[in-house]
Amino acid sequence: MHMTLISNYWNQLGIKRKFSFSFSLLLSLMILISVTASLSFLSIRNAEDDIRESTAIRVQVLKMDRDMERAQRLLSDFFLNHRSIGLQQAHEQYVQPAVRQIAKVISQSRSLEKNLFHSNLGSLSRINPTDVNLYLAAAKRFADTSIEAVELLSKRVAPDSGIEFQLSGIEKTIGKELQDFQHLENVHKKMCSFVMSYQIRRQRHLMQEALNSLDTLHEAVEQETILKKEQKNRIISLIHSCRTLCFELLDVDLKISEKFQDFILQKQIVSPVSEALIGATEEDGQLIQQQIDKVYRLTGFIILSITLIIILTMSCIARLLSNTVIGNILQLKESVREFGKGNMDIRASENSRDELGQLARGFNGMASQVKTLVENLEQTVEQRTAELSQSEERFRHLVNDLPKIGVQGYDRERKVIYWNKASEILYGYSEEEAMGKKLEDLIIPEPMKKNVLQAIQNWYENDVAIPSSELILHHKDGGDVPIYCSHVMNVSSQGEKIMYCVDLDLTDLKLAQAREQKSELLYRALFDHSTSGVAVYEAIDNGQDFIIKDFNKAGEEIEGVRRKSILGRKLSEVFPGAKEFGLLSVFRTVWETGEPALHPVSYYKDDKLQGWRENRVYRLPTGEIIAVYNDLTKEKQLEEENKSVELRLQRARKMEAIGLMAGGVAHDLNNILTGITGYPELLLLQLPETSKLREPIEAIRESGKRAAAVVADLLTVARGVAISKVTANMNTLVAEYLASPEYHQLHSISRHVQCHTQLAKDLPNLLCSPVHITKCIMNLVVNAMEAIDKAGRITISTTTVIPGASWARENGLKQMEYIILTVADTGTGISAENIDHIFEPFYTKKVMGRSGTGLGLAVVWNTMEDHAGKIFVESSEKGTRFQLYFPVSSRGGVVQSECDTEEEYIGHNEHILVVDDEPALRDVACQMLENLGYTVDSVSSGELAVEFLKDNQVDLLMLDMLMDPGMNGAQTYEKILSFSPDQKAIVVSGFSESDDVRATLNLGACAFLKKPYSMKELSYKVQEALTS
Amino acid sequence: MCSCLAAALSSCNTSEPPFECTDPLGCLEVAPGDHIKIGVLQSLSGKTAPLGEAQIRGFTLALNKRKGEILGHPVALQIEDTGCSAVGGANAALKLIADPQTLAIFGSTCSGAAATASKAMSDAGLTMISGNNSAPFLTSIAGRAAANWQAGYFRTAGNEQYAGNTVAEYVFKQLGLRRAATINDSDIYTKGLTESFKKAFVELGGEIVLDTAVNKGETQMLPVLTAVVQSKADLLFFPLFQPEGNHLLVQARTVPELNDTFMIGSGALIEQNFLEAVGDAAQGMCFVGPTPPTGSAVDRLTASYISKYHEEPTVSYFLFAHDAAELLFVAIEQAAIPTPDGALSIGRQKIRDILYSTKAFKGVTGALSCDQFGDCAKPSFHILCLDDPALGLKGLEANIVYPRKSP
Repeated sequence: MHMTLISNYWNQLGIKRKFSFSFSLLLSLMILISVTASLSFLSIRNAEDDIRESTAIRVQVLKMDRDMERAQRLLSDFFLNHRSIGLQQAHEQYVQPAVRQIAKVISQSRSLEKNLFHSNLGSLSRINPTDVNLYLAAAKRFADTSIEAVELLSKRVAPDSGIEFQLSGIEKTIGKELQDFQHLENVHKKMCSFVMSYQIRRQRHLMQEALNSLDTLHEAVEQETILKKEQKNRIISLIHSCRTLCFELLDVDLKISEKFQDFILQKQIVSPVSEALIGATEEDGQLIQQQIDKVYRLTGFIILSITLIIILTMSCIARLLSNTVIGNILQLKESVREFGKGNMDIRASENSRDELGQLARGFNGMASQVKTLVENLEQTVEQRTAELSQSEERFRHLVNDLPKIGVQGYDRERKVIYWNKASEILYGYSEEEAMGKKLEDLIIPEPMKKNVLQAIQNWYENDVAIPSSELILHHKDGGDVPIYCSHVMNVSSQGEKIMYCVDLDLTDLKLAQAREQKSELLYRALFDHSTSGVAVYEAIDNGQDFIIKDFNKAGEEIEGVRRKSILGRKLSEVFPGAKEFGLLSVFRTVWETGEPALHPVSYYKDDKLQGWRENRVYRLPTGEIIAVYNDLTKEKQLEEENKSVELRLQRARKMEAIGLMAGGVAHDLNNILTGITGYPELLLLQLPETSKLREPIEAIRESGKRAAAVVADLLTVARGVAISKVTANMNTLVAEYLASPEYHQLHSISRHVQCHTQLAKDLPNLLCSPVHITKCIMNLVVNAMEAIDKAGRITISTTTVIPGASWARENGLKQMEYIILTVADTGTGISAENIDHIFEPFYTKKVMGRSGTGLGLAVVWNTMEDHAGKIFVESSEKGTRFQLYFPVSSRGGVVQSECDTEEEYIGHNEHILVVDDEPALRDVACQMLENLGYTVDSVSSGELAVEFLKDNQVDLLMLDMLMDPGMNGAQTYEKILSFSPDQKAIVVSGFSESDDVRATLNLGACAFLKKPYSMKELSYKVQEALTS
Repeated sequence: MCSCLAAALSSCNTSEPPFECTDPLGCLEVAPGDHIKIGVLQSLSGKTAPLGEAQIRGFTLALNKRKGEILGHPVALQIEDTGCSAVGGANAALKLIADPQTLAIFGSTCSGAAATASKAMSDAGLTMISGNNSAPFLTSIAGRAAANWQAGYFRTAGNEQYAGNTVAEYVFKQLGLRRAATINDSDIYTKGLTESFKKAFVELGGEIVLDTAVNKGETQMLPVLTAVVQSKADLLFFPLFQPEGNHLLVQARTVPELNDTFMIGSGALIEQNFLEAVGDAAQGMCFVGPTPPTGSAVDRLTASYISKYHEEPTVSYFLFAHDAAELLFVAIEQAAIPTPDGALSIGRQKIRDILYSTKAFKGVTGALSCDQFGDCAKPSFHILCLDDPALGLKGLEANIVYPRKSP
């Protein structure tokens, strides 16, 4: 009953479950075997570890005992043999090896201690831990005791210093002392024999006998009257020493004996522990071995049992599977084989509910369906063949009529088997002409043939397809046919391979490309060879910026950039100044509106580029922006230069006019002024100090001097007038001016103004005209004073600078050392409209006459021109600053000191001839010279002077330069020198140093005196000439 | 099943192979936190105790520079007294070698003690370095291994075979003396010095008219001094230690026949307590001793000495002790290999090899280079004479009579 139920249940199970069940059962049994084996393995392994551990401990204990024994033996040998072989030799031979042995034992004891501490052996726990510790410390204790014993022995027997050595020495000394006293010597010898007996037998009573003898000797010596006191004392002292040493010897021997006792005691304590440890480890070993045997037996039994169960179970399962699974499979296989042979009516048995039953049912259903399908197949084939024929016809027409796409079919021998209409048009061959001909004989050009044939053969034989490509093939008329050719390999219904070529006509496309290329070349030629810069931009960020797409050579040259380095970069990166320049907004406008625009000539500047540019901007149909532009920097510079030249020309003309005027009037004016300033001076010499006439006469003289100053300024402004330069120091000139009466007078008027100086130390000297520099300082200070209405400050400073190259170039300076004289004030400043005119003569916004001539800054400007310097002005509402740049020619010049002209030089009747065509001036000169103590004659022309000097000799000639008519001063002096070559002369003129004056000076004239002159100046020049 | 097998197999694996020492003399394992033990053998009793004390102080100064540690391990010292005798040295060495954790020995003070101790320690595979021993017998004589040379013995004090040469040159060339008497105490130091002196003096053309000895502990020196008188020696070279040297000098001053005999001792007596003990008896006596090192490093170490011990150093040998300690520490550091369990394994032969290969080590006493016999210092000796006992040790050390310094 139960078996039937189980059989039914089994039949209802699927194959998977049947196999799962079977193999799970097997696996479980195998796992059981593995677990049993593993557990027994671990158990045995642990047991083996324990055996190893107990063995190791036993071996260590035995080794320690053995080494200890060895050390003890060595030590015993030392004590036995030290007398015979000597202490040191015995030490090296026995003690040191013993101690090394003990050290080894100590090391082993530490290792043993570690093993015992970590041991889990049960038997060891039965041993008292105190005993174990005692055992482990035994080696160290033995070492200590041994060394102490050796030390004691050394103390006893050490050569040179041991007790026995000392005792022997004292005995000998006492013996020597007593050698003349027989009875005493006998006592001493008795004592010595007892000591020797003691040393041999180590029995204390012998030493006591010796000590008793020593006492007897002591008493005898004390009582001996023959002995001298000193000798007696010496012997008694020796007896004391001997007694002390005897006691020391006893003490040492006692201690040595104790050490031996200690050895014995240690051995008695340690041996049982050692035996216990060995016994315990042996016992552990036996127990563990028994445990291993037990595990082996149990494991063997379990594994054997499970193996039998597995064999039984496997037999049952195999039988069951054979009946219920494999039988069904074989039956199903037989049905399939029959069905394969064409027996459409065969069906499989469906007697189980597992997968095989389902498979049989499925097979039966499938066999029924196949039978039905086979019956309907012929009808379906006929219908499909008709449809296919129609489709092929449609396709054939389509391919045949395709325009511009040639399709050809080739067989294995490359003979044409298909040639559509487009191929006829493309290659010129009709279908009749082409059919049956070989491909290479029709359209393949000669150079391509070899490769084409190889590729086709490769395709046929190795299935390597020919890739699509552009080709140029042959037309029937010999012309080229550009095509794009694709290839297809088909297999015919007869199984033959047919290659189809599909050729797309590219003739129109190629023509169009050629036209486009030509246009492109034209554009590129225009682009590249344009003398204007041309740049192509593409808008980005909705026109916020533009990317450079192209840039021509002219553009590269203009901007100094490389096309490669800027392509693809933003306009704002490459030309960061484009926004300020205005070009960016023009681009945007053109890009948005498409209307061309002109960006007029403007100045572009950024950190790298600058210059004048004119841009024409267009938009291309593609939306790109083209900028065609020109660099007009040179033109603009030329224009600026022209303007500057024009300005300078105008100024030069103005100056020339003034110069002409000044030149014209200067001589006459100075001649006139010589009288106006000279006569008052002569009159003042004759007038008493209290005379009322002195004041008006002095006023006349001062007016004359001011007029002379105006003339001098005029001459400076007129230019072309030579000035003499000497080495001077700017700081000195500033200081001299600030100490001058002119400055003090000026400052007394403008008390509200404070003047400060900031003068550079070690300022180099300057080759200059000190008179003119001083005049510059004075004019600038005067102007500064007048610019300050309320309380203010003027700062005069000097410094040196070597300007930077670019700044120097921009401002017309050389890159060299300059001295800068700065005069700065805190005044009201100069308005922008006036600042460009301040250096023009007579241009002033002030009240004329207050400051003098109206030529102040014109004089400064001209002075700077004469000194190849530059003047810079900065002005604002807070004040004005003038900076005068003087080039430093060399630092080594020596300042030429001006002579002190405060004192007049008085003559000593030296004879002077005054030559001047103006009677008044002759008269003034003569009177001044006479007042100065000279003997004076005068003549009115050069010719008269020559005549006079032919007959007379004079010490000095005072020669006017311009005399009319007749010879001028230079000619006169030249003539005079022809017969009187040593004749001294001073030259007098209303002009400044002119060419004639310099020529005269070059002839040998000693000095130049400019009209009008004062008496002091005259006296100085005359003195200078006479002493030269 | 597989997991069980894996578990079983994994239990067979060992995590890392244990460190294996390949040093021929074995390795000392120093566990993390354990001390590195160094034995110290010095003379700490008797008259030579100040010398031993100076050695320990020099060693301590070097150790203090390392904050008392080597490679993070505190240094433990086992200090033993040799009593400046051969037997004492041998017995003290026993105490050190009995402990297998003793890595090296610093000592000794006296060469006699070193001779026995170095034999014991060398056989036990230890290394010993001294800053005070100078007897030629301990290392080499005339470029050959001396009788008491032991592998593993090193010193930073100069080999005094050259001291004998210096004395011979001085008395023969400078003083013109031709008849010499020598007295040693059978210690290898004193014997080594008299031997080297004899050899050099005879080679120069002099004559050794007396070569004798006294025992250690001997107090009666008149008999041996009588022998000196009878030999008619021009000079007496007695390189003895205290107290034998003291007794000999003081008693020699009581013998009128020795008034004109030139007396010269060795560096063992260049000590303040010797000068104090003999007083005026030392006037006119000369000594041969190592040239004291000088320089900024010496000044700094001397300042450290004074700062730590609150007194001036009585001998300059603490400088050599310092260098000996430095050499030993560096050798230990270089020989140590960290093991996987965090301990240090220090090869005993490796320490010796490193010391033997020392070249131009920068010590406070100068550049140290150890030769194959363990001599690490370049010997330099000079003759000092005591003209004014009141000036004490400093006065003596300042009065170098040979070789004279260049002006």
